[in-house]
Formats: sequence, C-alpha cells, structure tokens
Amino acid sequence: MGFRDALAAISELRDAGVVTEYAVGGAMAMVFWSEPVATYDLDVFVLLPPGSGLLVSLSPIYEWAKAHDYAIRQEHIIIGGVPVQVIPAHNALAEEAVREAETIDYEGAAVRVIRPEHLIALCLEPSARSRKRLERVAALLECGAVDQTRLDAILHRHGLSFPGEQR
Amino acid sequence: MSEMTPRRPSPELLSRLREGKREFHAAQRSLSAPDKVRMVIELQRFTLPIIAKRRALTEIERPWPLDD
Repeated sequence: MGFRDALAAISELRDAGVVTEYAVGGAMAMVFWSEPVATYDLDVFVLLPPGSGLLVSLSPIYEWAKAHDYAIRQEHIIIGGVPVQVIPAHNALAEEAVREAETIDYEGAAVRVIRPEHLIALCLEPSARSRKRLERVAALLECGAVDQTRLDAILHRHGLSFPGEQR
Repeated sequence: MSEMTPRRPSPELLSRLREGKREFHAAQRSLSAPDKVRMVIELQRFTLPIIAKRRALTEIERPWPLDD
C-alpha cells in the first residue's frame, strides 16, 4: 500500500488501453520539480482513446477501478490509500503537457510527470488562475528546472501570459 | 531612535537569514522523489488535524500510507 502502488496502477491503466497516455500533474508534479507541499490527492492527466461520441465518459476508468476493487470517493479512485483523480486532458495545452511529460524514476519505477514549463502554462490558463496557482508558478520559476525558451514557446503557442503582461 | 522603537537587525544579519532560507529551500528541492513523498505524508499528518479543528474533513482528506 502507498504512493508507489498508486503510480504502478496508473501505469497499468495505460498499459491496459483504458487511457492512451498519462502524466502526473497538479501539486504532486510540482513536488517532483520543486519542494514538498501539503496535498491530499494525486492528479493524473490522461489522454482518452479516440471514440465516436462527442461526450467524454469516465465510465471505462471507473469500470477498470471497480474490476480492481478500488473504492471511488468524491470522483477519486482510492489506490493503495492514495486518492487519485483521473482528469481527461481538456484542451490542446493539456494534451501537449501529457505527450511531452518527462519520465522520472521513482524507486525503480518509471513515472511520467508533467514538465514544469507546462505546469506553469496550465496554472496561467485564465479559467484556472487563482492566487494558489500563481504561488505555484512563482515556486516553479525558482526551482531551477524551467527551460525559459521552452516556456516562452509554450506560452506563445497557447496565447498565455503572466499576470500584467500583454500577449 | 526612541526607547519605544525595537532594535532592528543589521543588513548583514538579514542577509545571513535570507541566505539560510535560500539554502533551506534549495535543500528541500534537491531531496529524492521518495523523500519528497515522505515529507508530503508528514505534512498531511501535521496539517489534517489542524484542518479538522476548523471543519469536517472530506472523505479523501486522509494521510497516505507510507510505502511498504
């Protein structure tokens, strides 16, 4: 039981074809790039397999969870005691963030984690901007792992800017 | 300076304190991923009882188990 089991299960979700790709996002991705913060769930962004309908359904993910005896609480799948929220990539930026995620080693297991430049861009989306997220941006900019050229290109490509800047 | 004005730290002391803070955060950032996760769990153990004094915890607000 624990975080390692949750990461292994998420990889299995991809290997089973329920999602085509995944990457850890949110506060835990920030922890990997920056420093530990208090967070209570694990956000996992996923690319869903192409389908015929326009409506996105999480049913296959919940069916997979049920088949593995994972409990569902408040839209989270409880894996190894860790609440995991599976979030389908909602736009081109999120899809790019998942596709270009970095693979890191976690005690011998390969884990895909959204890169800091994409985490910053996701925090700067107008629909997601909040004081807490802007604090995350500041912490990420100080973490020493941000490729400024890459960040500028992402922000330009997706029409995003820092508060007070004109794009 | 009046007797009511508290004594203030010198620029040198402030500079040393800020440098110490920078070093602390740099050390936190350089922890291994498993050590960072262990610290997240410790933070959960510290913060959840404080949150519980303000409001009822939700179903997902529980400290994660440590990896076996």
